[in-house]
Amino acid sequence: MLYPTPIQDLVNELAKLPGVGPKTAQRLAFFLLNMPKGEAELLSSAIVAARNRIRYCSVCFNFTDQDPCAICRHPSRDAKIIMVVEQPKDVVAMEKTREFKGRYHVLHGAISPMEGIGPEDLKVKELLGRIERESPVEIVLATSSNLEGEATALYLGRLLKPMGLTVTRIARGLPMGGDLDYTDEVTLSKALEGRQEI
Amino acid sequence: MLLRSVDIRQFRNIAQAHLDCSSQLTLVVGKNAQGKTNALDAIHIALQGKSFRNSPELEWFSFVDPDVIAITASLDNGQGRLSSIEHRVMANPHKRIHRGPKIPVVVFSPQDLALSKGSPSDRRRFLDQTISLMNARYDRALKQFQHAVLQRNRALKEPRLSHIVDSFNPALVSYGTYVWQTRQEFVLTLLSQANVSYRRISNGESLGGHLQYGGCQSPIASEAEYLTVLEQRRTDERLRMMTLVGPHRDDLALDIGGRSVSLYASQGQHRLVSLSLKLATFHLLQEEFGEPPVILLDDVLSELDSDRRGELLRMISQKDQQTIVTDTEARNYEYLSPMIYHVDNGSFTKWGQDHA
Ligand SMILES: [Zn+2]
Repeated sequence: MLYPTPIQDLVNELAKLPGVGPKTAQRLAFFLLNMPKGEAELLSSAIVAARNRIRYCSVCFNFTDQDPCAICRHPSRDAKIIMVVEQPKDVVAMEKTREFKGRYHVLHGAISPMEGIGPEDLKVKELLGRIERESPVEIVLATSSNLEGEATALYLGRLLKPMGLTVTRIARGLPMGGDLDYTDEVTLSKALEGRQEI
Repeated sequence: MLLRSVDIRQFRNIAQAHLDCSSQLTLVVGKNAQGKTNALDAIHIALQGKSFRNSPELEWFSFVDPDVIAITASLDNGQGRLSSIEHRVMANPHKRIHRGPKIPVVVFSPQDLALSKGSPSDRRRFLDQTISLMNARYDRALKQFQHAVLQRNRALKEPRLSHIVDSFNPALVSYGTYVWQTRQEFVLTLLSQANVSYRRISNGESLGGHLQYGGCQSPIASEAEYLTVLEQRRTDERLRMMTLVGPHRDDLALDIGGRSVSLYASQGQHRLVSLSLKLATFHLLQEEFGEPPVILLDDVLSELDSDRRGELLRMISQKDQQTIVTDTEARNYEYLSPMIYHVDNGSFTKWGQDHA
């Protein structure tokens, strides 16, 4: 059965969201239509505002509403050390630890031939330009520990080492609460290699 | 462990079925293409979380409303403690849930009897499925390895990405070496057990063999060695645009009295070799878990002569053995007083314990 055009349009747009199938899109559409009008308008203006005001930081490519972003402008953040991450959400996760005092560089993805993503599709060129301009002493590779993240770290390591700076990779441990029995052999042996005295 | 019953909803041509499996033998009788194998596959999915036919999940759905497949199995730990397994697949949005333990199971199907005659990939799948039953870690490492091969092959095929091929080498090599070591160890145990079975059913001939390492002249013992061989094939790989060295190209090479099975075996010998490999699997699982695995016999008796039938029937008559069989007729099994279901166009009718 076909809905009136405005509803159908809404369903179609919602169905483009990740993890939302046609059925969920329908459910969400009807939920939105049953909301008080004011709340639905708040949601729609929040989407428009975020989309209009948020852009990439021209230095680190994190999302920001001011360019450069708060971290890149912050006087006490150490510009000599740059942490390379895949996504803006990784910056948020790292910031929560309050342990890292350097700056970031967001690649916006990881190498994945199956998805047609090579280094040229990531902010790698921009990273090289930044290293030239800012001459940091250390690059911390903090891409994820899956196949694509590891491949990206390896690629960047080979690319950056000849530039005469220290390149480090964050340690791969076992996931918190990770069951030893559930961890694959390779992750396990890497975790063993990276063991530390306590 | 006793499998008490299985409930199937909306799986392939089965709208709804309840199978009481608590007898030593459950027999599903019906003409071809009525849903016998579907029932066995559903039981396999309940016990192992996956299809033994390796069929794509899309084919599982034949009921649109509701588009949910539900297979549940009820278990008894042998002392009357009940538990259950639930497997649900939702089409839209796609979701698959498996709740409950995995129960060891061995399938004997006509395809299994073609194992020795089939392609190297059939034999790799056989090895992988059997090892996975005993070692959950293997399954995960194998999936990582296969993922690395896919990424690498894609990069080899696209000139724009060929400079990142090597970035996947460490993953390929570390997971690949683990897969090789585990397969190698398993093949040694498997073949010594298969040789025992083969001697018995073939009037004393001996069955041998080894794991043929994919793209290698000889076995690979370490990650470093794997990397060396990989680098030797570098130009070749770029020319043929695929990963040429690794467990994804392995084969299980078999021989009878030193003569290669794939080159010289007769039709009959192929069958016996395949049967021996499956019988060996059964014995290894029984040893590993301390009780016999559930047996699923999919229409195989008609494929065997009376001697080998006897071998299978002896196995399923063992004490504590639980078996579910499909056949077009019931007469071979009557002496085991099976629970009989008749299947017609996806619907199952119980015949009663003593009715045949
Ligand atoms: Zn910034």
